[in-house]
Amino acid sequence: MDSARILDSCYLALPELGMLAAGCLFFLLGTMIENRRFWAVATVIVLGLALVFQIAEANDPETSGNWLLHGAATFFRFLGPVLGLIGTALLAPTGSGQARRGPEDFACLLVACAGVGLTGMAPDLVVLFLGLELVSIPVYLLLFLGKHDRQGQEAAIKYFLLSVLSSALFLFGASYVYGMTGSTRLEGLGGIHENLRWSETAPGEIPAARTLALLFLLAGVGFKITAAPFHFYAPDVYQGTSPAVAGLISTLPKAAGLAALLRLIGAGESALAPFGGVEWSLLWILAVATMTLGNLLALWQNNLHRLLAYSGIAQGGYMLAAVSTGGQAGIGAMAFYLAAYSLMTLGVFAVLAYLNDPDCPVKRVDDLAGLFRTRPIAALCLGVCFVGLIGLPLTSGFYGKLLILKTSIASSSSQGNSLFLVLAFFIVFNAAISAWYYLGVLTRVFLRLPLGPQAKPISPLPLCAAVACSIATLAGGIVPGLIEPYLRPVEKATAQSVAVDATVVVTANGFAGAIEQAPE
Amino acid sequence: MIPPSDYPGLSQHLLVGAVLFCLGLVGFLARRNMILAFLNAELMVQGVALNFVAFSRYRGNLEGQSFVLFLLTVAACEAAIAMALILVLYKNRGTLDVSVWQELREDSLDAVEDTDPLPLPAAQAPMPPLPTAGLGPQQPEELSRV
Repeated sequence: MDSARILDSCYLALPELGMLAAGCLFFLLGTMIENRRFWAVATVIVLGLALVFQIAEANDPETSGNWLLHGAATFFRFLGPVLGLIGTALLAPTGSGQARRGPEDFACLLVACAGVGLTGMAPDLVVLFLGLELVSIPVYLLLFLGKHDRQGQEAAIKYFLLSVLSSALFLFGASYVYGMTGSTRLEGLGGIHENLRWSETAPGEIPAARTLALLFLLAGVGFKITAAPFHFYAPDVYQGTSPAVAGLISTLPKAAGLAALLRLIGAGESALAPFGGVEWSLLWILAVATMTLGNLLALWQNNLHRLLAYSGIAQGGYMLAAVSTGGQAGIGAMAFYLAAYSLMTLGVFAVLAYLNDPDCPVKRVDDLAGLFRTRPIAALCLGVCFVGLIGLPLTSGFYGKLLILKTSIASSSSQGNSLFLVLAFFIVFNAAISAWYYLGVLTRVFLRLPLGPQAKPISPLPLCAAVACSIATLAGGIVPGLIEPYLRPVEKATAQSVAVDATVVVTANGFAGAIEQAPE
Repeated sequence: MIPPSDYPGLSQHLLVGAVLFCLGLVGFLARRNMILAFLNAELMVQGVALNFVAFSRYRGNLEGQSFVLFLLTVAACEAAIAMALILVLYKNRGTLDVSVWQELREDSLDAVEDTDPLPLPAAQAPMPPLPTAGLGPQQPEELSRV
């Protein structure tokens, strides 16, 4: 391959490569400079530069300002650095007792953010696999660095072993995809039209190789998204680690997993169903199982981290539901909801990181009792984020759920498949269940009196992150037009789906307009 | 699309790959020793590597083989992290048994009692203490002077 072509492709992934290079430099130079504030500022600069480059890149005429092309690549490349900036604020404060001086966790954060972007833009199975691993490997280190006690180590080994297993499953599926298409390029996925033959001359074929590959790929990606049968590790891992790291684990791998899913099922391109349509039914089942199981199990939780883990599982189910409708509109809804979910969950974990005091730890839901009286700003942020997670109006969570519901109802009428109506019913039913446990936390925060001594925050930085997340949550609900135009379906699909997409956008926009005008 | 070449050995290679993968999966689920569990996961990856190489030959291009190179590199990275992590865990508990790590679980569940624990390694004599690097061992001062 000529060097000019290699340089060209490097330029295309410049922000991601920059973040990776910066991460490596951080690991190297971290042994010399032990000033944590210096490294936090350096991380913010690197992430900021990556974002500026993305903004310049996103305006190029080929994509015409739409972020959904190529499996929402631009969207994921934006999402990585944005989550990284909030994550930096969460990771930056250090307790006096903690032996965290160096920049290792910032380096891990940078590499993981680069991984999300690379997964989103992967043109090839190799890049897709490397992108997923670039998210997983820093997460092992973050888990290990986050908490130096037995619980932290147990969380790290649990996540590590299951993550290695999940990448092995993913790779097995990938090898069969390669065998069937003869290429590791993802465009080649359209070439899986028939089952794999042993050879040209032999008559027999490998039975159901296409479905087998799909099952293994979904299992591997499902671990990252914490979809239902593969969700079991999440509560333990979240429980065992610090709030800052738990916040990152609940967002970055999930974003990478969804990006990989979009790349694999070819959902970004119009009407391409590489696995013969089985993928939509499987995703439908995964979505329903994930959201129902996550919400039901969350009802029994007392531990805040476990509760948020189950909540994250359930929210992942809503995103899978959006993908399973199988159109551009569904991907737009998924992208909006993923951004909204990430900011809301990071906001909640930012408040927990702000209150993270080794002398009086906030572990159980009851430890938050009376927070509104002692720390009103933190309590308000928590309130906004939880209201968003329930999906009440004026928050981005509401608008995101609305988009998903609209999409599934539109698909049921356009495809004549009443299963999507059932899906919409499950989403509403689950939102109702989830309100129970989210409101349980909120009543303690706002209506109860403090039970014991309150935590003394170390640094105001996580609170700033929480305030930023809450403002973003409100902005996404009140003026969704800020981000929504970028996530509009591409006019490349068939005439029928374009009509459906248009109705979805028009109705959603009309609804948003109604909300905007309501206060006046 | 490149037409598949006539490669009668494909089925045998895929079979061996699948057998390696399944053995690794069974071992991963059944083993309690952390190092062996990790090695079983590596075995699964090796089964996949065999699949890739076989398909590469079948399709007559090198993309599968280049995938294997990346795959092995990532596996090596993971092995390095695994060994570091397992070493720390071993120092903490003195055993490689995963089932002793039960602190993270649902509130309502009790810890599982281990009726058949892995045998502990035989106690070794403590290592002889070494002087800290950079400092010589303490010598008795010479009293007589010429």
